[in-house]
Order: sequence, then C-alpha cells, then structure tokens
Amino acid sequence: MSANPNRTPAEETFVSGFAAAEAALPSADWLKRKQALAAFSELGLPHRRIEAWKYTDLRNLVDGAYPAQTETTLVDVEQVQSLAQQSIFGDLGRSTAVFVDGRFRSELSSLPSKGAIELLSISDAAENAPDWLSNTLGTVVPQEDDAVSALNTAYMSDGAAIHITGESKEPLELVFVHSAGQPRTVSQRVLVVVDAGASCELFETHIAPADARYVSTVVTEVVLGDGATFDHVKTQRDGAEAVHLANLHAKLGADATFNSFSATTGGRVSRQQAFVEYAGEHTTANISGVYLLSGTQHGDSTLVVDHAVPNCVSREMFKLVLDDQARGIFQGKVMVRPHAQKTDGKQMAQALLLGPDAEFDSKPELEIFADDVVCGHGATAGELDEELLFYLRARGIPKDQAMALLIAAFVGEAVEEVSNEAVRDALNEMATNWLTTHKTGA
Amino acid sequence: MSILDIKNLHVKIEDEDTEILRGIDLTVNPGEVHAIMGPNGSGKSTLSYVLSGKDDYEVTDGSITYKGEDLLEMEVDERASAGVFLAFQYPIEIPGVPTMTFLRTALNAQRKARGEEELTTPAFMKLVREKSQMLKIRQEMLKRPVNVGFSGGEKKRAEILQMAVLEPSLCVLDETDSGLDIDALKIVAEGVNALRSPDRAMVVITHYQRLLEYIVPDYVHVLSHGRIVKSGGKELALELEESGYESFTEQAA
Repeated sequence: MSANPNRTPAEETFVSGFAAAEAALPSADWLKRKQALAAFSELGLPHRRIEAWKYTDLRNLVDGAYPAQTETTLVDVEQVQSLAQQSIFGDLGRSTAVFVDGRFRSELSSLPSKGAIELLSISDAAENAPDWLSNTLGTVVPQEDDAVSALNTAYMSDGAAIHITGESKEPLELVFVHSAGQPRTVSQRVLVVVDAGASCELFETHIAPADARYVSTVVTEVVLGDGATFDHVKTQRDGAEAVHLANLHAKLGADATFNSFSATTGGRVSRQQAFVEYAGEHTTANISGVYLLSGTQHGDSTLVVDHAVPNCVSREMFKLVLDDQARGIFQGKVMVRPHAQKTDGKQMAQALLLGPDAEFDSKPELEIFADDVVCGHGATAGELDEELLFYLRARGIPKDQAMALLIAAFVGEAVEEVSNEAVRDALNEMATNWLTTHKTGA
Repeated sequence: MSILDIKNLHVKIEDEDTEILRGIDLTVNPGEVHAIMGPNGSGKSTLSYVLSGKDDYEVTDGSITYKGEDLLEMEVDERASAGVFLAFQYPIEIPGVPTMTFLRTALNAQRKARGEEELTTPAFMKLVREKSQMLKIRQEMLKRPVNVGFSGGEKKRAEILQMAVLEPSLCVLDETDSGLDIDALKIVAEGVNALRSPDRAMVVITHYQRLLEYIVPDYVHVLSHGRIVKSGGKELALELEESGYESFTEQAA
C-alpha cells in the first residue's frame, strides 16, 4: 500500500507494517486479518471529530510510531514473575494464564486441569482450532466501524480462548505483562464461550513497569448461553507511559447474568469500551468500574448497551477519582429498541476531583423507543468534603490516611457490585493504598 | 501542671473582622470538670472548634497551652493523638466508612503517633464490645457506616463511645445534651461520668443547666460576648437557671 500523506506516523506504521508482520503472526483463514487491515486503513485512528471519540483523540494521543509486536520477546523471567505476583488476585485460589509482550508463556502459567473449563492459547490453536473457536471468534465484534477492533484483529499475536461447559469451581486469571523496550503495539484477543447453564469467574490483570512504552489493544468477546453466568473483574495497572485500548463485546442469551467490573490505575491513556447486546429475555448485565488517576492520566470508559429484547436489566455504576491534571471520561449509551418493553436500565457516573485542574466529562445517551420501560441516569462531580476530613482528623487520623479512607468509601459503592468478597476486600485495599502509592511513586 | 491553660485568647472567623472570642482566660487541671455556659452566639462552639484545630478560625492574640505545649502549633490529628477530644454538637455521617474501621483506624493512628504498638483485632473488638455495652450501643449500629442512619441520640452516644475507646486526657463536650430526651441524656451522662478520673479533665459546653444535674461540674463559667464574665462553683449554674443569662450579659455589654 502506498504512503498516505494524511496518515499520522502511528497510522502509517500500522498500515505499511502489515505485510512484514503477517508472516510472523499466527495464521488461519478464520482470523480474517486482511479484511481487518483494510477496514483499519479506511478508518484510521479515531479522532475528536468522530462524536464517540471527541474526548479521546487517538490521532493525537498515540504520539508516534508503535510498530506491532509479532515475535516472542526475550524477557527477564524474574521481573515478569515479580510483576505477576503484584496481582491483587494473588491470595485467591485460581489458575493463571500469563502473556508476556503478547505471547502466551506456558512455563509461567498454571492452567486449569481439564474439566468444565478449556483454555487455549490462540497462537497455539490457530492451525488446528476447535469449531467453538474458529466459528465464534470475530462474530461478536463489529469489524467495520471500530478502528481498535480492526487493528486488533489485523495484528493479534495471541490471547486466550476459553470454553466453559459446566460450573467452573476455580476462578481463572489472565495476566498480561509488558516489558520495557522499544515502543511497540501489542494486540491480544480473548474469547469466552460459556455454554447454557454454565458459569465462569474470570480475572484479568494488566501490569507493566512504569517506563515501558507500548500500545496495548485487547479485544474480548463473550458469548453467554441461556442461563449462563459470567463474573469478570479486571485491573488495568499498565505502565505510566502506556496506551491501553480495550473493547469488550458481549452477546447474552436468555436468563443470563453478566457482571463486569474494572479498576483502572494505570496507563497514560486508556479507553475501555463495552458493548453489550441482549439476545434473550430476563437477562441482567451489570457493568461497573473505578478509575483512580493522577498526573496527566487520561481514562475513558465508553459503554453501549443495546436492549434489543424485552424484560432485561442493565446496571452501570462508575466512580472516578481524579487528582492533579487527570482527566476522566464516562460515555454511556443505552438503547431500548421498540419492542424491548419492561426494560430496566440504570446508569450512574460520579467523579471525585482532588485537584483543581482535574477534569471529568460525562455523556449519557438514552435512546428509548419502547414506552413501558424504567430508565434513569445520573452524573455528579465533587470534591472531598472538608467537614468529613475534619471529623476524621479530629479523631487522630492523619490527613493522607483520612483522604484515603474517604476515597475508598467513595469508590466502595462500585466495588460493592463485585460478588466475590475476597476480591472486594482486595479492591478496597487497592483503593485505600492508591493515594500514598501515587504520591510517593511507589 | 495544668492540662489546659488558655490566656487572653482572641479569635475571629477568617476573612471577617468581628472578634468572636475577646480575651478568654481559663485554666483546667487534671481531674477537674469545667462547665462553660452561655447564651447562643456567646462563642461557646467557637471555643470548642479552636481547641480542636478547625480551619476557618484565626487566633489574633493570646495562647492555648496543652500539657505544657503550644496547642495552636499542632495539626488537628496531632492534637487528637496528644489526647484532645471534641464531642461534636452535630456529629456528621460518613457514608461508606464502617464504624468499626473508623474506630480502629483512629485508635491505631493515635497509638502509632504516640509510639505505641497497634492493637490487635481481637483486643480491639473486646475493647469496643465492653465500651459499647456501657453506652447501650447495639452491635448492629457498629456495623453501619459512621453515624449513617443513627438517630440524634444514637449519634451522641456514638461520640461518647469514641471518647471511651480513645481515652483522651481532655474531653471537650460541645452541647452534648442538645437533641437528647431524658433517658438518652442519662445514658450519655453515665458514659461521661465513667470516664471521670484524676488524670483526665473535661470542658462541658452547654446552654442549659439540665445536663449539669447529671454531669456535676467542679467549676462553672459564664461566657458572654466572647468573654468569661463570671466563674464560680456548681451553684452558679442553678443561679443562672433562676435569673437567666440577662443579668450577666448586661455586665459584659
């Protein structure tokens, strides 16, 4: 393809680098890389003149060439292990699949024993994929209109394909580690297929050293069968220089329960999108999250919930704590189709601004075409209450500790949405420690 | 050595010109209970806030010495750790912070500041259970966030529970009787009286004489227009009850 003068260096590298990269990436027809690359070269990186991206202009924010990572990197195993051990899920019984710089590392992982849960590395499985993988991957994601998904599909180097056929007793954690090195883009994919009546508890950890410079794209596709349950908790603790672009696409059967929670403290820029589509009635989707950002961090949560069928429930609860010049964005779109009667949708986004230069942008969008529904949304932004701070300090609690308590209390309402108590405790601890961690740079 | 020594204290609200306290002198020794009485607007609550270190108040003259140290030089939390406790007139609700977490964090922060070992969870639980029984505080209340959903009386009892757990040297009670019915008042007073000891002092701020029937003071001071206009023994409270504040406030005007 010829160079296009209107492309940014990042876009040009993505488009012109494909031919060389393709040979080194896992190969299979059903991956549909070429179509995805064609879609990306049409779309380019999203920018502020596209309404859905007006607060997160990737053309500006992805500030140079980040060539795609295709090969396995040589890494310091001890460093990777010490990063992986910082996972907040460390004290829980669980299996782990560890990915380093976009490649599955079996020697660092402890996979579940065969049973109700099957986990495959996408690169290992590419040539000889089971039907549930090759027939499903790419079907939940609309390729044509989302540049992040297109880029991810064109360049995905690896990822986890998970198939749950019954009740999996033990949670599973996906750990995505990045190492320091040349600027690069790492694209990974997750596919979760939960059969009818089956359940899955999935943790996801993204972690890297502070100085690692990378763009991480992660596209997750979730397909829930009728009566299936999915509990998802993600911590995004990417390095301070990282750009994290994550799309979560879920298609939910009838009587299903979908819970997804994310805690974000990392990354220079992050955009986490969730697209939820109801394919069956009497299903509940609960999407919640916490952002704890400081410095000049930019965190964007964009949700699109499509009530395509009647009698479904959606809940969105996001809490953002923004210090210094940090910027938090919440965009929540709820669509209720004409026949989706008895839809019950609620949305709340609240920000706590710790610094005078912190900024919160909230854009709720309700498109309701049915007449018998209950839908509501709210957004607030405020500062720490001085009276509360004084009360705590008047009992001997030092100022930083008092602030940390109030921050944990503020985000607690979102953390409450997580069903696993041990995980809630770990998240509360993470929120309580956040202020000291970011003030001291520890 | 006195616990509290206030000399010629002048205080105004920040960014305003009017002085609220206009030369207070008060010495409180260990074991003593001092009542400060006065009409609304006489500066009672201001005195309590200045002792606890609230922003918004500016000391323009005078000094406050606590156990030989300059109290005004200490941060809010340092004062608390040194043993100064203010029972608030209007205790605020803190959604999301469980009462037990709050109590344990406060107690251990104070112990740490004093160079003492932190209390273990079982030892802490035992301590709170004992103190809450005395104040007839149900365990269910302790599971709630701080003061959230508490009635007025429950909030006041919770303040005294905090005081009992933290064991301060100087207790300042700001209108602890306001909003209490007679039964709640008795429970609170019992809790306070149980804390009276030879090495602890109390400053009880109140509008009405009623509280002083249950918490009997050693000294009574009448505050008017930012000055102590009369001091005496506990009988002064009864005198006030009969003649009202007017005879005193006229002297001060």
